[in-house]
Amino acid sequence: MKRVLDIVRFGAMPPEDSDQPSNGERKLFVDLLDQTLFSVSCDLRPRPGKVTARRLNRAEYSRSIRDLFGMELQPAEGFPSDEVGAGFDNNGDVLSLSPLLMEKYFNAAERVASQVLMDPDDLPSLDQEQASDQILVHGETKTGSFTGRFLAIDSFAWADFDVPVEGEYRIGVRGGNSEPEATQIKAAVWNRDGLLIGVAELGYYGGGGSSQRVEFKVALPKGEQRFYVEPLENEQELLIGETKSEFFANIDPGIIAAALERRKKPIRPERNFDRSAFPYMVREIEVRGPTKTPRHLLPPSQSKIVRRYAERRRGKWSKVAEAAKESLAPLMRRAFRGNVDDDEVTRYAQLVVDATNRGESYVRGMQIAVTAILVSPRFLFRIEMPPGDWPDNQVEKDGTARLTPHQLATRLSYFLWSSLPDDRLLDAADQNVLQDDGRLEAIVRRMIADPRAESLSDQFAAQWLGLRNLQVHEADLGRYKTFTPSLRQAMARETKLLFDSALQANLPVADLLTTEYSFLNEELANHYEIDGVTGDEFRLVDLGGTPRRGLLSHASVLTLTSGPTRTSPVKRGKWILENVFGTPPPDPPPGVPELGENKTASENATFREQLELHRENSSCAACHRVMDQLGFGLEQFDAIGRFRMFEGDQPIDASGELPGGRKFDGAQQLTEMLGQTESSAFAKTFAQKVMTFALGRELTPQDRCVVDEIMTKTAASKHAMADVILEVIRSRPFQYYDWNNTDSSNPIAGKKQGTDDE
Amino acid sequence: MSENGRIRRRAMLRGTAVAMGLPLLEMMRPAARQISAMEPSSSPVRMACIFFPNGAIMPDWNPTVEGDQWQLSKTLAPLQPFKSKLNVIRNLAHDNGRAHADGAGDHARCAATFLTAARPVKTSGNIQLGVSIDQVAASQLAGQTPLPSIELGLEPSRNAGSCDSGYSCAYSSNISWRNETQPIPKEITPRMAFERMFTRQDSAERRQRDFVRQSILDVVQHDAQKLMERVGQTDKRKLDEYFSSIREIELRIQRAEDEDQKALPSIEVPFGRIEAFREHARLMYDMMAIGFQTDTTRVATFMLDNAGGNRRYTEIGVNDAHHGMSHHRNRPEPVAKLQKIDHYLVEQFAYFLGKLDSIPDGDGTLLDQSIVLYGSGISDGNRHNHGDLPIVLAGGGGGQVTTGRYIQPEYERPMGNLFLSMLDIMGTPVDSIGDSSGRLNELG
Repeated sequence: MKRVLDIVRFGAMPPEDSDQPSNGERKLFVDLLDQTLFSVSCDLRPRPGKVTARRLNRAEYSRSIRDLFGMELQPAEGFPSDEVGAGFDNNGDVLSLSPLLMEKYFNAAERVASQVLMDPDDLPSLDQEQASDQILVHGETKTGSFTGRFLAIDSFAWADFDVPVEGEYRIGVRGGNSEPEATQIKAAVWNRDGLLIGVAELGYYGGGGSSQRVEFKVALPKGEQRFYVEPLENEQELLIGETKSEFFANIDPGIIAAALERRKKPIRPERNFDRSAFPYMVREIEVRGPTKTPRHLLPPSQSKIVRRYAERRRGKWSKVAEAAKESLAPLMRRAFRGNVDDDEVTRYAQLVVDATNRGESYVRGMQIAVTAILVSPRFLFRIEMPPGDWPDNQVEKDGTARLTPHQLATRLSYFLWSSLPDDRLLDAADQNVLQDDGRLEAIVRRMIADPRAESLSDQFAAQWLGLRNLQVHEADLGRYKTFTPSLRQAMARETKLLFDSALQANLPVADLLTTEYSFLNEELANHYEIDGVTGDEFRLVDLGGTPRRGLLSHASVLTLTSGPTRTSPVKRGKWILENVFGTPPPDPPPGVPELGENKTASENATFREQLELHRENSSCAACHRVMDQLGFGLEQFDAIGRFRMFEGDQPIDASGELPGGRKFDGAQQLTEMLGQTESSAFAKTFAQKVMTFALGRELTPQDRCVVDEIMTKTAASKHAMADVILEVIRSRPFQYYDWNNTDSSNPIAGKKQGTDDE
Repeated sequence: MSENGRIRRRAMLRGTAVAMGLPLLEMMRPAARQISAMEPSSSPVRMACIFFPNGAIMPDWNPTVEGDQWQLSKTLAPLQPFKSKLNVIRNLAHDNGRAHADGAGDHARCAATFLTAARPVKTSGNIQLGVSIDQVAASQLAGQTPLPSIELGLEPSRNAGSCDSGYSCAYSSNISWRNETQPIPKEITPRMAFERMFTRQDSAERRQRDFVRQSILDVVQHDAQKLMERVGQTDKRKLDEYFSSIREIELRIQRAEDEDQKALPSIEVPFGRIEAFREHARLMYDMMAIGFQTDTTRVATFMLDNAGGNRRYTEIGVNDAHHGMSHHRNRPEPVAKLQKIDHYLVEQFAYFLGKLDSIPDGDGTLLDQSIVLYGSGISDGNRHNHGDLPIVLAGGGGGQVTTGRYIQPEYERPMGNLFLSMLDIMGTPVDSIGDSSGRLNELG
């Protein structure tokens, strides 16, 4: 019965030698049959339908990771491809999770965690003391007990350090005045450019092995650094960061070389010398740092994830749980797309605590927690369930209920962005503003305008229009030498860009069929024999004066509906029926041989003539009459979408007829006719496909009432694309759960996907 | 939840003592060893050298003598079960530990001389000392065991900067020196030591990863269970896929763990650092014992702390820092506390000897086949004495050492002489080491 409906609907029956019904009669018959068959009455409020928990597909996974951490990481490379149901790979009923995929999720999560967080302990640092015997000296000096270097006025000491990375460092000087009384003595600390970077005014060093210590922080560039310590007696003005010493700026290399030579011999302490002649003692020069982890060395995501660091003293960590919770709570809220309670955060934070207890660093612990978040079912699956404290009065009599605001936000973002909600959307959910229709519309329009909405062309349109088949399409490279990988990419890109621009401009859906412009780069323009487009950049190109109009003249569509060596009017006709009319042809009856295994026409018959053979078999004829006639209209384009007037030495016959007998000649006429008479069928197909994609499930007979309603509501704008999307979002199936509905398996579009029948 | 149980199970790698039978021993022994095993039972001699810092309270350390009988002192009392299998040796000195012209820095010299008997050059930069006894033996035994030697410790090494009066920290942090200028950093994380001794690098990484994965699985499984309680029938089926995938990974981890159990020695070694001194020290002792048992190595050194170490042994009620207290000026209170620490450290040493003595080897036990040096490079910590050092030498050295004795050579016998004798016992003789002046003939 359903087959009868399908066949009659697209005009394959009654046979052409019978009396033909008028279009009106045909529609009336189809509607009556349809109602009888599915016994759906649109007078009743349609049930929302049950949506099965959805695993994130590859695209959603990648985009979720990208938006969660703000980094492009391509984490889903190597994931197996996702199952496709109802034409899209976001269908909860068919998306499955295998142990292999789980293993890949684990590997990806670990890789991502190590890319978005870097352990500062792994960064280079310096912690070096130059003790007295390693300190270099020049001038009058003595070595005292415990090898302190005692300096006369006009002598000085220094040490060299190799600073591993630009940053702020602590410079420490140990030493002090040689005698308790000599309080006016201090030491200037100069860098290798002769700039004063600190003053060591230490007072008496304390005798014996003791010393005083001063420390100051200085920004240092990467590389060799030297610090001179010079005792000064007089009250000369010393401005840190300003005062310069020409002497140290232009130091005699001989002084350095001589000191290095002296250092090779061990120093021997002397006990008795006149301390007043050597008024300042230096015991150690130290450099430690960088004091803060240099931002530029960390991944950009680090500061977003780690909002607080645990404290570490002498290798032991404290306040780990607090710091980890403070950092993890906002991350989990986004990753899990809703509010998380303290217990949940605590369990993830415990992973960090356990790690630090094992002696690993805090950031390593955070990497483990991030890995856990990314393999949690709460991240990997979109599961909609009533909140634990669901008030009964929210469940309506028929067992349906509104989604929670966060669930709605999640549906919105995965529909429009193929990714998780951003903080703004989650905040809107927190504040319950998604329930407000006006606010909801504003949010949806903002989301469509967002760059992330490119997923609608990349995920939705690419699958709806079959563009993904282009990626695996095999054209005979001997015959079609220009079909390079880059041309293949360009073809898909043209169609996506057209879809994007029409969506952003909120154009009527049918405009996709008739636009007199497109988006081309040089390679594709050459392919189309259009001059004046140079470079890889895509741009808007006027197609006036060319034979190309709209989607049906895109090389992408024309190629993916061709065979490797020739065009396929059958596939092209089928594509039009499916994607424009929304009436996919029924599967061929069993036992039909492929074309070519059948008896062939004469040797030099055109392909078109060969196809006529279908008509000899009455079981084929009914459907192929419709498909082939449509496909013939595109015969002016070859198997990779180039325009042609001849095939071999035969002129192209691109005449055909639409169901119902309207005749046309050539692609342009076909397109025009489709635009005039099939714009609402096309828009309805769009609405159905959008709704299937938005819900992640096959449409049910009940949903058709919803689609009809969307069509009515968007009629005024001629079914402008963004308006249709908005109405899908406003619909009950998008906004409600269906808890008691056990009857979810009666789809109208129960057609097997992907069979190419000739 | 079974979480705790699981984590605990995962945190430990365990096998069974029974599983540690002969096949493993044979498997882990290199070919050379198997050939010599065909000769009349001659098990190799093993050597362990254990260092403790800051000296000891000597009056409580030294044995008492009545007639021809000698008794272990208060501090050494925990060694009573092995009295017949050890010697307490007195009057050995490290003259190179003394200041002479070098001035302060007794603690740096304490560790530096301990196994080298050599004088460290006083410098914080271009360090120079001498080869240590363990490395003399290890270099000659190289190739006969998977690892020529292992170097263990409980506190991190500092090899840069100055730690004691102008001496490089390398002197205080290491007792094993491969050559004059190259100290061998010690391994302080038991797990790392374990992996280094018994596994290949990749399987160590895999174990570490599996361990972390298992702890993650425990957390996310909890998430899945919570979801399960609330979702409808269809969604339950989807979550079941999740559960079975997770289960698959767990099984794989389990299988790998089972493989490990078959291949690895029976010892529980947690991942990461061990905070508690006693557990940490005993794990390291265990590792040395198993290293010997499996003939993974025949030479081991172990530093209970760096020289001048300031550990607080709070678990035995001593809250003061070890080194700080060691300058006790003979006041009764710090002396009592220090003695308590000495005793506590000897208790852990006794644990090691017990372990060795419980493992059959050759015609006796592993202890009978070993020589185990226990001591410090300082005797009286208060005065930084480097003479009459606290030294115990346990084990029979494969019958080459007459044990159960209190050996008192004349005062000021160089430690190096003991080293030369020990190296003879190891079958790796040399003519001199550090300031040695001959053999310690009293040993045989």
